[in-house]
Amino acid sequence: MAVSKETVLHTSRLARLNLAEGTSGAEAEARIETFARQMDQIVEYMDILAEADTSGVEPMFSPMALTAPPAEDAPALVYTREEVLGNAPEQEDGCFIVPRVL
Amino acid sequence: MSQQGTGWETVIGLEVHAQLLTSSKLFCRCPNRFGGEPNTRVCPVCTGMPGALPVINRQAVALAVQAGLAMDCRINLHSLFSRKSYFYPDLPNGYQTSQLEPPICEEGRVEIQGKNGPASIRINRIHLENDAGKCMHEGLGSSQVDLNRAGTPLIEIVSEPDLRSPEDAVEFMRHLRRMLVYLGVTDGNMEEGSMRCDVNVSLRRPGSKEYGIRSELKNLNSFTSILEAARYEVERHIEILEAGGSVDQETRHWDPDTGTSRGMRSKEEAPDYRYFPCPDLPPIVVSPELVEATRAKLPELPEARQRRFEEKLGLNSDEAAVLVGSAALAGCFEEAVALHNAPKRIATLMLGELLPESARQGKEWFETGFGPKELAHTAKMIEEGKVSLKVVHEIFSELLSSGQPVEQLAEQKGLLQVSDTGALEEAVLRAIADNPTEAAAYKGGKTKLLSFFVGQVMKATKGAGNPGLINQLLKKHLDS
Repeated sequence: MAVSKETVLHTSRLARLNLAEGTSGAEAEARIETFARQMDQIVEYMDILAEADTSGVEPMFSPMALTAPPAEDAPALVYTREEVLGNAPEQEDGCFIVPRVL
Repeated sequence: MSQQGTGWETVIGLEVHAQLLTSSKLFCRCPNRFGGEPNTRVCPVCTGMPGALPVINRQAVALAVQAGLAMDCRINLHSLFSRKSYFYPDLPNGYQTSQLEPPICEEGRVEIQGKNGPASIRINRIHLENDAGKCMHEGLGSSQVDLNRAGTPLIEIVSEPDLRSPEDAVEFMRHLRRMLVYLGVTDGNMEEGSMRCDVNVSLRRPGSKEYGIRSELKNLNSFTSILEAARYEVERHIEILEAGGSVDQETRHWDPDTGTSRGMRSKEEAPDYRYFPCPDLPPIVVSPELVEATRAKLPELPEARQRRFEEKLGLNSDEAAVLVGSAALAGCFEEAVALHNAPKRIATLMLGELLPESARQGKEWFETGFGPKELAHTAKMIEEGKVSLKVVHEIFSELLSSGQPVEQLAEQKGLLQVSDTGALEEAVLRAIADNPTEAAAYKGGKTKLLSFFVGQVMKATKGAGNPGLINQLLKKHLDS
């Protein structure tokens, strides 16, 4: 298996996901195994791409055929502070409020 | 070169961040400025609202190209933005939009005056990325987030580990700052965080080809911090290595108050940024025409200009260094010299009169209205013997405020230089007659007293006498 239980745990930590949440230890184990199997199947499926013969094919620079049209450097304030803060679950003194990080 | 007497060679590389002097942010058109009331320059793009799409700022690309050319880099005509994922509340997207491969500029070179002579520092890459916002930790159980700075365009300049001392690391930073400010790429304000750097330090035995394990000091924002932090880190490495230990590859935080560094995170917590190409931003294309036009417009850089001022125009290195400290000041000097070819005298007027006097008035020199034309004219009047440098010095403040030509103002004040032999001769003869003791001593061989008599005549003519003529006349009468 290309995707081990350790890979699943590492990935979940990076994504700040607690796979054991709301479960007993045994259920968490089973859940992690399920994820490992499913992720492994995805990776295996993608490996089919590696079978294509790409000799003599220029590597693609980007999957997008487009280039980014730049915008002119002209400042414009379109939104008010109230509008932007309006989406915040919590705000105070014109700031977004988040759980203390230091 | 080893660290003197320690048996270790210091190896330092810098990662320098510079905020670009654009009017708007990197991916949205919110104004790019420092400070202000929290969250007053924000929009869905720079606050990371779902579905908001970034659009690259044309000027940010142009400034990155300019910086790259100034550092002798190759400009990649196609470059790509990638997402660098990490979680912190000042980074609303959950990723920084940066460049991994390929960055906009690669493989450059910068020449600095190192502690032990000229040194060539290779530039690995320069890439574009956006800055994060700011967190304030004032509440008890909460932090406040201000996203005004989020989305500010940055270039990150990554050097190769070619620096060999903390002093050279500082000089490299100074060099980059001078160059980028001169080009108008950044305002270089380190106190406001417009320029800051990470310093990578490692040690090895002299002659070794391998690099030692490095530690990285994050976010230094003053020349003093760079110097002290790098020195501290070198000492810390020496202690560990001499004791037979090994340095941890880690990121460290420098505390300028205690003068020490401490580890920020252990190896287990080392970030895994999971870079991948940003699907919201198609490749950035720079046209060969833009590269060539930028190259053609690239001004002469401060070091080259300073050399030219010294070698071709005869200034000393202090004069030349002050003048090239600002592109506008150097430009004013050159314009004045083009109008009247007297570089030394014009430099003297600028450095000895214009800069100190405008500073006294609390103005910038260019706000005084005394520009290239006035400088050239004043230099010409001095050379033609209409006014003396001494008189110019005395009336300089009025010269700035009145806006009159120097000879006109001097005439009004009765300070036009007296080059009229008759008038001067009278003053000379009176000086000799009034000071018979000194005159006798002079004639007895104390010829140094000539300057005493020059002083007397100058006093009598209120400094307006032509010094050359006074000398000549004094000698004529004293030596006879």
